[in-house]
Amino acid sequence: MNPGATPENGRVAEPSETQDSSARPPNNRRLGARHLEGLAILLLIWLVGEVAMELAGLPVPGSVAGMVLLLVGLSSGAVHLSWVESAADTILLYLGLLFVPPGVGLIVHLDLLRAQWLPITLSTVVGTLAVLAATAWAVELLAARSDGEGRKA
Amino acid sequence: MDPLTNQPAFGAALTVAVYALFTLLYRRLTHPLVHPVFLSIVTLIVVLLAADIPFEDYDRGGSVVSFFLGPAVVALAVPLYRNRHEVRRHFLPIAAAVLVGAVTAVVVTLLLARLLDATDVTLRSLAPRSVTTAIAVGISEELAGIPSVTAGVVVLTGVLTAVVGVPFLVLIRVRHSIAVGLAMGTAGHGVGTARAMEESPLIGAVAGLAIGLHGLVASVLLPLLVPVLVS
Repeated sequence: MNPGATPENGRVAEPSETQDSSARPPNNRRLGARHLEGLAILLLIWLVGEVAMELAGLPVPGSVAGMVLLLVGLSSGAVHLSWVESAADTILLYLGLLFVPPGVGLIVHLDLLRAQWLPITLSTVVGTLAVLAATAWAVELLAARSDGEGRKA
Repeated sequence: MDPLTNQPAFGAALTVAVYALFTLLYRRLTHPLVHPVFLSIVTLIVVLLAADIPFEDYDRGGSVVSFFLGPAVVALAVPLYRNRHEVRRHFLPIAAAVLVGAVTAVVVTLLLARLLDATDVTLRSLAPRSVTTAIAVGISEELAGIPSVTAGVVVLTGVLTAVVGVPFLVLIRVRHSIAVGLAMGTAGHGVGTARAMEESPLIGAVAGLAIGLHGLVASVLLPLLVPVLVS
């Protein structure tokens, strides 16, 4: 009907048109499959991380253990980057959103926050700034030194 | 209201809608104080209080959204892997700086809170403030704090880091990408990492690494340090 409709001219194909053999639907289908494949791998690795930490009796969250597992998998070649990268990039776009419900959970502690607001808020604010500065300065100091040695060597 | 707020779709729809709204606003203004995570949390708390909706009702949908934190944290391995050469080259400074950050967090927090007459149990609950929630809750139990209070201050710390972290680091003239990422992750765990991800994939990846390293260091260090600091 409209053979000139390409992604370049910014025109979104109507559902009826997608049945034509243009390049878009197979691409979408392939991307969808990639996303699902990646999500399945991420969920599976999370599960392995949770079970491993429970069996080991460590207080480390299974998801953090899973991050290490996936890194080892990618580095060793057991997991190909292309299997997980589209799902990982997509989910990380929404990382902020995922922290909103736990944040709303603060509502349960409003009484304690009110009763001890001064020590809690002041130590949190000053403590956070101190950690930011101390960590960042430590990296800059130590990385600059190792860079310098690297160049000399 | 019950038949409405009881539905898992209620909390999920409300969360995504409010976040989407503030994301639009953030794109227009890009002021650190309009950060969507911070504004969404404040708005939702006000809405729940004003409409007298119990948190348990909201969380039926909220927990569906936050469920995806699991695969998202695993996914942090991808930017970390892409930047593996940069990270490996600086691994020693990274490990040392997380240790410095972890000690600073507990010492500054507890000394200041003590000075301001915090109760013993508040001190113990505050100690793992900068550690990622699941690890912080475990440490809090071990320290005889109140785990749910710890979970609350952990979130507070993360949101604060997301809002003030990057402008503060610019102010004190920190430029090294690894320094920015590591500071955001060490101080503000996952929430700080989400904000760091907006800066660059390398900064986000290093922040994600800092969550794990800080959790590890704190699990060993805090049970030793906190009894000395609160006594």
